[in-house]
Amino acid sequence: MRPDSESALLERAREYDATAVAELYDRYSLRIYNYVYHRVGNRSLAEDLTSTVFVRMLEAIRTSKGWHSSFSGWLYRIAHNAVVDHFRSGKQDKDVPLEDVTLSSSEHLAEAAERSITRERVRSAVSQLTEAQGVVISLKFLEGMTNAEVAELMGKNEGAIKSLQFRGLAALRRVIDEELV
Amino acid sequence: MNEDIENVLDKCISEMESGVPLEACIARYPSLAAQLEPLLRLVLEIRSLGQEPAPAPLNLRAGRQRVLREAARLRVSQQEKERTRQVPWWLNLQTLLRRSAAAAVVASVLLVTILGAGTVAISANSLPGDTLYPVKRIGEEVQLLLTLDHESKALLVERLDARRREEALAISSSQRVAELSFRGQVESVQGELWNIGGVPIRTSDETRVGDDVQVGTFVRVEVRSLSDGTLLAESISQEPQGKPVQATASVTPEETAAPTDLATLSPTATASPTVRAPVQSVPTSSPSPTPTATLTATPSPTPTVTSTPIPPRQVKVTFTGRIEQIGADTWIIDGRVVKVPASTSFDEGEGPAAIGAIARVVAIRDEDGDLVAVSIAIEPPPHTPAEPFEFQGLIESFGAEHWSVGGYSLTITPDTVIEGSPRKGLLAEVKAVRRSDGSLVAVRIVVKPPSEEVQFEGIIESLAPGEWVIEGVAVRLDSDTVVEGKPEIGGTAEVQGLLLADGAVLARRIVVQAASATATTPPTTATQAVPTRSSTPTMEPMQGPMVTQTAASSTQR
Repeated sequence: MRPDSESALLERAREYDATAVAELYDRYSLRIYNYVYHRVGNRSLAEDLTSTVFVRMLEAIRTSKGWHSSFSGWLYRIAHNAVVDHFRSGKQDKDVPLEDVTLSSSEHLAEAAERSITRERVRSAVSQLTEAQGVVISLKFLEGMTNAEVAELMGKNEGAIKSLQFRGLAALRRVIDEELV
Repeated sequence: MNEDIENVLDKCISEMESGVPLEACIARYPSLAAQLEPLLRLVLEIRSLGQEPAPAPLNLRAGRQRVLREAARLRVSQQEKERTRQVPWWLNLQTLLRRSAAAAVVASVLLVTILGAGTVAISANSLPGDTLYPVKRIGEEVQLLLTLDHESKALLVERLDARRREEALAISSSQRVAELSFRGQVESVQGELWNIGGVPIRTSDETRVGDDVQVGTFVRVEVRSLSDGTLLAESISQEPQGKPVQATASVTPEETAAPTDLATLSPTATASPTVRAPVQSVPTSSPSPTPTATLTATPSPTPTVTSTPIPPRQVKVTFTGRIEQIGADTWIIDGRVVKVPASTSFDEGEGPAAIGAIARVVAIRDEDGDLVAVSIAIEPPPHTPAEPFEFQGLIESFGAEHWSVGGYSLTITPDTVIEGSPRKGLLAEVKAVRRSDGSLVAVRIVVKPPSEEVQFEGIIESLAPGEWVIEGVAVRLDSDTVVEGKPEIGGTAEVQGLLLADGAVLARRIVVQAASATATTPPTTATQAVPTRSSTPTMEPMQGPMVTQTAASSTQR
């Protein structure tokens, strides 16, 4: 029943039906927020980018066919691109807000800062991957999804996910190493 | 090679997930260790990012509003596009009149000439807000412009005044929301209730009433019609009866007719009767500028056309009401059209600014008479009990959480009782409750099963998507309907389907017969079910499996 219900919802959202759009937002906004937060590490920015993702979804839903195979996969790809655009815009705050740095009891402040810098570097590097690689790496290692779950979301088979995972990690390693040089 | 390492990498990642140390995994694949190790260490780094839970979002609701506002903007824009596509360019007055007033007058003359009396005559019964209303008003303006005789012009002005009052009464009785302007004599004043030229209006504390206005005074009234039919006066001002003709409409200043535009129709200085006649004073959800033409009729044979600058006025208006519609930059709140520019401040502390919410609005009424919102604050929702709502309708769609029945969108909850098997096209009895935001939550839905299976044959009279009319019977088609042959109006078709409670037939199979065969098939036997155009189709209840019963159709196969 669920897929039918979602496809009807999407058809209504395609006509910009307010109830359908609100329903989609309510279903997916928290997942997209979590995804974006893990990518940018800043709550208010993640909130802002989450609404941007849905606005972009509305702008593209009439013309794109990307959502026909998997709406959530399409939404994650939009989210990835929104994050990439954010990093490319150079607007990202180099100073990590205090509220977003959690200090474990045994951790020294310098270690926490080092950890924070490493995270920023990884986040920024993920944004330099291709759309598919970035989404696979994020969903698997940031969101903790299995290959099967990622495959279903992205409308691909598990073999393709393993391949994207390998190429994504290799590219990521390269990007990080180049930055360190 | 890559395939191998892809699989090995994935295997190691899975093992590390279940607690196997990185080193142990690498040790099992010595030939790939150099490649594997940096990648697996990277996985650990990325995972540590994800292990930190995202803090609970604080402001996703504001994002939701942003998204819904964008959806509303896109919806309006889409509707605009579709409307523009539907209206031929030569009838798209909004585009045509976006020039200058002078161009508009020239265009009107051309328009009337091109369209002839036909379109103008069709527009005669139109009301403010109708597509053809501007045509009606332009026709009137042209008529005024071309009426040179003073007496005839005075009579025409009187007739147009009466027409404006009739329009006000029609708008009121049809409970349409609009802004109107008309002239008439004050016939009675009883507290807030006034009667002006036979039109009952209501005044309020906000109504601006001229100093000299009393019973018997000839006045101009600016009113706003509310959705309950009330005509609420915004201003009542004295106006010399039969004074110069002046046609106005809410416009952008640059579109006001320049005095030089029609300088050749040079005026005399003689005092002349004035009639303000708005070209288009009704805001729509997609406001567009319309021109202002100020026409001054004089007793001289030469008509006078001058511009009268409208003094700028800004009135602050505060009111509270329900948000009825949210457009891209125009909302309807409490029956009033309110422009909501980007500068409008929102206070959504008590809830989101959504349709159905109660909003306190502070707005400025600009010189065009439009309300421009300065701030919109959402008030706590009133504790109104959910209203029961019952109706019957055809099932248009159904799903786990939403159904569409008879044009209504229904929310299905775990408590909704559904009786019968839903199918698109079947009749359903719905008992629902209307929530304060206007949405309907289904309490009970009884799906009416089709009464019986029928079969008949007849002439195809119309072919709309999803519904044909065959021999006067509405035949609905859904995704399960099988159509054989090429349907065309006038052709014969045999229908097998389910008789629905509303008399329509939900077709399971339609066999369209070739036109030539239909024409040559002689209706020879009494049992043959090929009706004539005027005959009533005979619906035969199906016995057992559906089989072709008519001679005509059996010869086809």
